[in-house]
Amino acid sequence: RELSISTVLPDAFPWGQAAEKWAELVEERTDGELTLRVYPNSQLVNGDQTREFSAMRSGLIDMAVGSTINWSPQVPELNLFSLPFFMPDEAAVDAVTGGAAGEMVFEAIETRGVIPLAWGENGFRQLSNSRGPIDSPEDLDGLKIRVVGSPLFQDTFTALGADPTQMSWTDAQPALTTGAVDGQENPLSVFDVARIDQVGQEYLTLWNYMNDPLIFAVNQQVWETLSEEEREILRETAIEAGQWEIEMTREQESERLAAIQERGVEVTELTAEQHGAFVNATQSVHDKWIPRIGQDLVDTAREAIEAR
Amino acid sequence: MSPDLWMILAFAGLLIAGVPVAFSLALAGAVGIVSGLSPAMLATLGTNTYNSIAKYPLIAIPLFIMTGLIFERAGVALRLVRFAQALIGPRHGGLALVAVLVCMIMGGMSGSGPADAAAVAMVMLPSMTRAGYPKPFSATLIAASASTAILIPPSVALILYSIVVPGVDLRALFAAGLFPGILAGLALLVPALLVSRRYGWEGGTPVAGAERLEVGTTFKQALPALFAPVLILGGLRSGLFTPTEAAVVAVAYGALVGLFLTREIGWRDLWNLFGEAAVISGVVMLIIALAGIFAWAGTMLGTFRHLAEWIIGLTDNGVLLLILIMLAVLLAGMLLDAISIYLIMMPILIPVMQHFAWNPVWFGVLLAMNIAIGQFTPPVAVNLMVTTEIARIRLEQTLGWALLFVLAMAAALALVALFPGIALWLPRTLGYNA
Amino acid sequence: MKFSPDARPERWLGALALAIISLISLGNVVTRYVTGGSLAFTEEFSVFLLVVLTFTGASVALRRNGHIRIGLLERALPPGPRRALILFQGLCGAIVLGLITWFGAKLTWEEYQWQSLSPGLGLPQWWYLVWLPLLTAAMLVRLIQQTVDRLRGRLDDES
Ligand code: NA
Ligand code: NA
Repeated sequence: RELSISTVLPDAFPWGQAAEKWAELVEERTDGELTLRVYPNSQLVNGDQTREFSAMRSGLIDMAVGSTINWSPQVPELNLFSLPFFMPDEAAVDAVTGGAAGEMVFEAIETRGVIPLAWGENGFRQLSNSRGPIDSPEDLDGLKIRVVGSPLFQDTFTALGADPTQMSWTDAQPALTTGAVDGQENPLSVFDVARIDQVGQEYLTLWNYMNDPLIFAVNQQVWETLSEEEREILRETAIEAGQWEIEMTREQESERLAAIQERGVEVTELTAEQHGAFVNATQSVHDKWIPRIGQDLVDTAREAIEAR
Repeated sequence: MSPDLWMILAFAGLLIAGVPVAFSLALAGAVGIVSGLSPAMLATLGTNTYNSIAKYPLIAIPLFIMTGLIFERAGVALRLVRFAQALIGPRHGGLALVAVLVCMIMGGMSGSGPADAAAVAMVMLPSMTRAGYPKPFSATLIAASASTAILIPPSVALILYSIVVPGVDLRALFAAGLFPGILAGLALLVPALLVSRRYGWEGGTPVAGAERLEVGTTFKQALPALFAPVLILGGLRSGLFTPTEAAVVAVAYGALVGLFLTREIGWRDLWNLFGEAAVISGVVMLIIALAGIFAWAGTMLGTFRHLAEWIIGLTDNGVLLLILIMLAVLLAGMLLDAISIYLIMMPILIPVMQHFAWNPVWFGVLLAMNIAIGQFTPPVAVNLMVTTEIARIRLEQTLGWALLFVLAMAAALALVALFPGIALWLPRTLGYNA
Repeated sequence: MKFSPDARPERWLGALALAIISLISLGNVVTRYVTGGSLAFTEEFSVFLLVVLTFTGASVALRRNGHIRIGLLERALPPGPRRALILFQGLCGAIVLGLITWFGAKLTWEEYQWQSLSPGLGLPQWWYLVWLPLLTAAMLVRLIQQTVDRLRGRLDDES
């Protein structure tokens, strides 16, 4: 039996590699009984990654390794991860996903007809642009920034004085090449592999404003047709592939940064004070979005972060 | 029979039965889904129909179609013709030369062929007929020259290519289309002039009663039209505009020219033009929407993958394969329109292109040249349909001339294939990634 | 003059959609040069209007049998079989439009129930989606009108 896995990025990126790894492990453990075929570039939803979750929920896609950002239009709880400057470091991410908050998020997904199995990681998202170095919110003034997935980003970038525009990754590539947008935000791995510097994005600010976890998930009807053994295999291989991908992504982070710098990109690191200015400027986004995400969930996540 | 085969046969059968291309694509996709997946998967007819067209870069398509219509109605073609006539003067083949030149300049304003073909045919057919050119010849020549509109920027076909092949810069494609477009126009001109001389069409003296045209006056009148391609290309080049912005600036400029300069359109006409552009765009965009179903089914069934693997397996010889692909597209171009060809062939050809490491900009221009040829090869020949209707002749009468111009443009295609620099020099000089 | 029926409501809506797209895009260019910013949030509307434009424009074209197709076979056929072919063509179109209307409505209903929000502006997704089944249903009506006209010989087959 062959099942489809949707991803946004192909196997040149850790994201796509995570899906391929999953497919490889499942094929191995089921002796080829179950094959997973990876469909990258959100091609099963014609490039519109924000419709991936709906398509998986309605059965057009069997499985997906998806980003919390892209699924947040359908699962508002996932906006937790997009709250600006909420999770300061990798330990905080692990505390949230690995703890009670992570379970609450998984429950929220499950009530919407999709079975979540494991976590992966796309990485901390950094800001790049073609105009100049950015080390304060004022530098963002009037810059047209490509974002994706949730109106939360609209609020974040508006709060910073920028001019956000919502675009899928397929649309973003031509938009960046033709200069239709001034800037974008993505993890270093994406910036590096997609060679975003080649399209004039020469200024990169390391601001760690949010981490972008990935979720391995299966459509509920498909899940119900699987045997107990197959489910167990799917779950354990998803967890393995996820851990493998998280470790790889984090390990590669510094070489990626070096490679990016080597290609002539001006990298800006923020002092504690500069960082603070961004945090203050986006406080209103927390006030507006915490009720929508759920006070309970946010509190649970916050406790986990403080206790990390 | 495999679901792949069911799908492809259904598509061919529906096309032959005269079902519109867009519906044939969707229904063939549905056949593939029902025979190879599950009927529940037909739900893609909801999701993917919407997703295929809800893309920001596609907005440039109706805008460039609108630009072409506005300039056509603003009386720009007539002014260009008069200027070109004043420059060239009466001589054997003079009007043929004017027709080709004007088609190419009009192509620099609009994104697709039929509107140009209509505008130029309307203005030039009567005078060409008076000067002794047979109608089938003139109609075919104009249809063929107007097909350069999808090569000379802006181009609806190249916009679509940049969306289907991610990572290709539309500005590079636009720049790369310019010289092959001009070359194609020149290639058409050679046989046109030879034939005109051979048959002695249009003598060296002005047709009795024709007014004398002065270069200076006619140039002034043609200036706003000549400025349009400069605005579009220059705007893109200088980085002032993105392609979508260039499109809307061109629409605004055309509206200003028509409303206030040539005064050939009023506000009411402008509104009607929006309606007309919406209908033409609707035809193009419906194909894009429903080809999405076909593409989805072909992807899920692995049809495209199998076909690509099969093509790559045919031979290790890249040159031979390129020739085969060009012949296949030429054949498809007889039956299908540009948009469908891109949408159906690209998922199959992208892996082949990557396998042989062909330059994607160059390959896109080759395909566009090939598809341009398809616009005047019967039985499905959008440009020819327009010009023969204006000339009041049957499509069948143009067959011989069509063949001649197909050969001429195929020669230009071969030159661009042999010397990729013809396409790639300009984008590289302008500093685009090509 | 050839009989060329119109579909006025759709034509009107299509013209309006394109006019608004043009104004929004032009507004964006002007704003960018005047204030340095832009109205990027409007892009969600533009893309939605493009969908409206597509199906309204396609509907007008459908009414007058103006979609790109190969008319070779029907021109070669005698009247009897030709009528059968016209019916077959109509049926094929009806199946496609029927399926899109049905699954488009289902999609809209699901997104309504699931309370999905649009990614840019956070508006209910079904506000946008509902236009898909509405407009393809209109196309279905136009297809029936067109097929009847062609069977009665009132509408010329151009291809
Ligand atoms: Na053009
Ligand atoms: Na053709």
